[in-house]
Amino acid sequence: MKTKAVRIYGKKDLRLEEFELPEIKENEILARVVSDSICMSSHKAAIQGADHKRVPDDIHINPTIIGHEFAGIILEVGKKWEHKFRPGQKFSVQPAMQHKGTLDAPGYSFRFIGGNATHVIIPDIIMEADSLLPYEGEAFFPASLSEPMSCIVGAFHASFHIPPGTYNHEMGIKRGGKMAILYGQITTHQPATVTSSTGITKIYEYKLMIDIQKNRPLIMDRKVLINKEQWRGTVVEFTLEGDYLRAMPKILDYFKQTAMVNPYANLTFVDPKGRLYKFTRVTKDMPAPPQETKPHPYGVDVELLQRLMQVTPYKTMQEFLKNHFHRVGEITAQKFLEFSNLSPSKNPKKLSHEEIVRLMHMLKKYKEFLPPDASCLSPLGEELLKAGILEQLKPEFAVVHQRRPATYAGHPFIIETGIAYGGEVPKRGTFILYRFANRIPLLYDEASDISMRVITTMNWRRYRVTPDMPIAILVHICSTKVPYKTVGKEFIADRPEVRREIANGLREVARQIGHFMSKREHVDREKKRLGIFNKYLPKIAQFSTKLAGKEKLPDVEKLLTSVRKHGAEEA
Amino acid sequence: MEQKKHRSSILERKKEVLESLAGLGASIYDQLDTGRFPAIDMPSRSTENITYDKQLRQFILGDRRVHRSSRNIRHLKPFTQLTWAAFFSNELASQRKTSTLRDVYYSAQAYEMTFQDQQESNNIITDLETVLGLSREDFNIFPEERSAVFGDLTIEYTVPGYEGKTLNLDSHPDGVLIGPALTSSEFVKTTADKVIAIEKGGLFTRFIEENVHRKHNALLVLTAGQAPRATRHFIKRLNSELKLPVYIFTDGDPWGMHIAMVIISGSANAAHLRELTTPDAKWSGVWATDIVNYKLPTDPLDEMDMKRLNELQRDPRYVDPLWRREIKTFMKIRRKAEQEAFSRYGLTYIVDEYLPAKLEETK
Repeated sequence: MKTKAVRIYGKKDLRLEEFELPEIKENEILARVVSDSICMSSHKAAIQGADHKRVPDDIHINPTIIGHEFAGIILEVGKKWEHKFRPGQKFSVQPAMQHKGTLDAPGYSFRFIGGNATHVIIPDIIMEADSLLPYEGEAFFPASLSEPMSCIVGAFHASFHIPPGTYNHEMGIKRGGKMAILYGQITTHQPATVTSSTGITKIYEYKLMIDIQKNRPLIMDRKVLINKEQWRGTVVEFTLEGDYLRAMPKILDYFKQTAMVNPYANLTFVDPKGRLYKFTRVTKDMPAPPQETKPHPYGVDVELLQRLMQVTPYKTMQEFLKNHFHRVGEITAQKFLEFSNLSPSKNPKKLSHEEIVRLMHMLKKYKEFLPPDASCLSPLGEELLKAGILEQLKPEFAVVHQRRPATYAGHPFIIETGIAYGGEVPKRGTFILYRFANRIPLLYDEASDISMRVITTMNWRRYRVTPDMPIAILVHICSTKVPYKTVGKEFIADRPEVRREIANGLREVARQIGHFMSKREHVDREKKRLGIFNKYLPKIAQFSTKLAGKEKLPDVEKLLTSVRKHGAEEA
Repeated sequence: MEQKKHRSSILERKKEVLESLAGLGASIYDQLDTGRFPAIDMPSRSTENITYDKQLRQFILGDRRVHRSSRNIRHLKPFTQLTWAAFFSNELASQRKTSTLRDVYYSAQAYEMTFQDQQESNNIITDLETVLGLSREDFNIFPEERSAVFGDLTIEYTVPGYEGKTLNLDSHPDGVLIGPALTSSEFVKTTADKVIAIEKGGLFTRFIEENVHRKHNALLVLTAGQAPRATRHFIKRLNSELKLPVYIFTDGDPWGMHIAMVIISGSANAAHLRELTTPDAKWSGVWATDIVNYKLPTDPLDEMDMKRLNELQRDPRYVDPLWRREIKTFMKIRRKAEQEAFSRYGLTYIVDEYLPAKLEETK
């Protein structure tokens, strides 16, 4: 069978040729292509040639047929596939097969199949991957367009509803989205009122709605009141619709956990049923507030660079770097510009788009930047953390630990950990985990959180701790950029630096709880031991008195005292 | 036959037992009273400490001793149990009541001295035996009885309510149970001049029916399998107090052979005790050579039998040429025969022919 096809021989080397197809094998299918659409990906393949990840290295000898958005009619079916396909059947092909991880795809990788051909041989792997799709439509072009359509749908998903690196589609408004006002507006269409004063003579009161199309505030009403009592604070009022009965446990959890890591705050909650929940502060000490800081060069992206370049008053790259970045001084800026082959006197506003991208890459590549300091972070501190745990969990015993500052990708972070044991901590058969990011509780997706993974891989028995004990574990990450895995901001991603810090933090508190447990075990053992002596020595006295035919019982109190004092002899 | 009258040491022994128990109590009491944690020393019963004494012709405990101190948390409970066991034995002995190992296990609960299981309480009784060098029968703790004696022997009871009463052991044709009352009796007189111990009840009855006791002037003892310690002690007394030679008839297999051996030389489990062996007793049959000589109907030796023979071959009690010859023969013929096998020559053949021949042979 002759075929006419566009084949790729190398970079920008496409040739339209006619050649003979081999006889099909038992596991192959011969087909005629009716329609094919042109894809940007094919364009990319044509430019990259053998450098393209799906295109084989030897195309200069064995060219492949390009085009992968095609449909047609089956002409001849090998024995292996007779049960599934028949001549005359219409088909389309799913090009990205991913069969057992292969990158091979029709339109890139195969010599005898591709969309830009009159006749093709469909190889076994395509059927094995279930990528040869019988098609029942009236015209062929919609079948050819199914791949680009699915790319569009996929792109939307990826942008909005798919956690990066996964194919899990999450529909709707995501739980935990920090969009309370927006949510209130879309469920009740009532404005939010914000009242605020910093203790000056005026109080500002704004009634706001959000222009959802333009993503801008609509000020419905605005008042300035006289602040006679020098009131200081902010009040946000809005109405929202929700299923309180269902959400109640989580809402109460949220308050309780917020109180745990904000022990200096008074929280009052009157719920829709009129019940009052009050979380009274246990301390008036607050952690030191964070200090404003410039971005660290490792942590910047193109977006940020562009924004800085737009607003910068500095005319040279040297000044630009020195003044806009954390940990970059005169010498560092100079050395970096040398490293990245940029002229120190170049005006940052004159950088082309490519140069900005390159600058970002170089910033990340340069090894000499000092790590960011942690003055921009505001961790809770061991004392406050312990106070919060003791107040909210009322454990028998609690240990806390604050790690020294660390960084990931240019973002400083501090891990704080705690373990509470016994008292009112419930026994659940698993460790209870409380997670916080910048003093905000994380309530959802616990299983995916890196803390959970660290906990499950730790050997707790070595710390004399088992999951059936009443134990609560607390992990607080404090960072200028919390490494959330998803837009829902519900759990912390697995970054090696973060994982290491959490693991070390947990090990430290685990060690402390281990000491506590072993001390307790010792006390228990002594108690039990004394109990045994208390039980048996009087009996020995009783039996031996009768046996010896005496009247008066010997005094065992002295012996018991000596056991209390010196412990018993081990066997 | 000349009539003999013997006085055994039954009453003296009872006194001795009570003194031993009281002595143990006094020792514990004194240690407590002087502000010390009481401790007890006793011979170790671990297998490394059990040796065979050729002179005594029985197993004995070596020099190794164990120290039980109530100061040691792990010894405390067993120590208390031991003290209780001594106390309980003392109650039994002084009130002249008898009890069983099972009884001991339950009685402990009345004193909040719960034993984990029967094994634990048995061990404690064995400890007490070891500490005092007396057997539990001396403390009036008896196993379930199943062995019996028959023949012309007059005994005099010492048990409460029967003191001074006598009984001739031929008065009941099923034999008289060797229980606490009998084992604590004095021997008064006998016309017998030998003891024949028999492994199985059927043969014991046949011997009585066939008047073996009269024909051979014998006391017949049914061991009912492996002889209980009380029975072994009883046989020992018959042998030592009445000077009666003892002949033992068992099945012709390694197990029967060993029943005889335990009566003669005792067991490793009782290495801490004396007075349970009759070293001069004779195993009269059924020998392996009898199986050959009398052409008895046989069964093949199975794997267990062969294993047992191998064990016996290494056993220090089996040094006599007779025993070695019989083990060898068993291994050669790989057959075994029960006592009943003689019935192929008629029911009375064993009594009329075999028994007299063997008594003569092993005299």
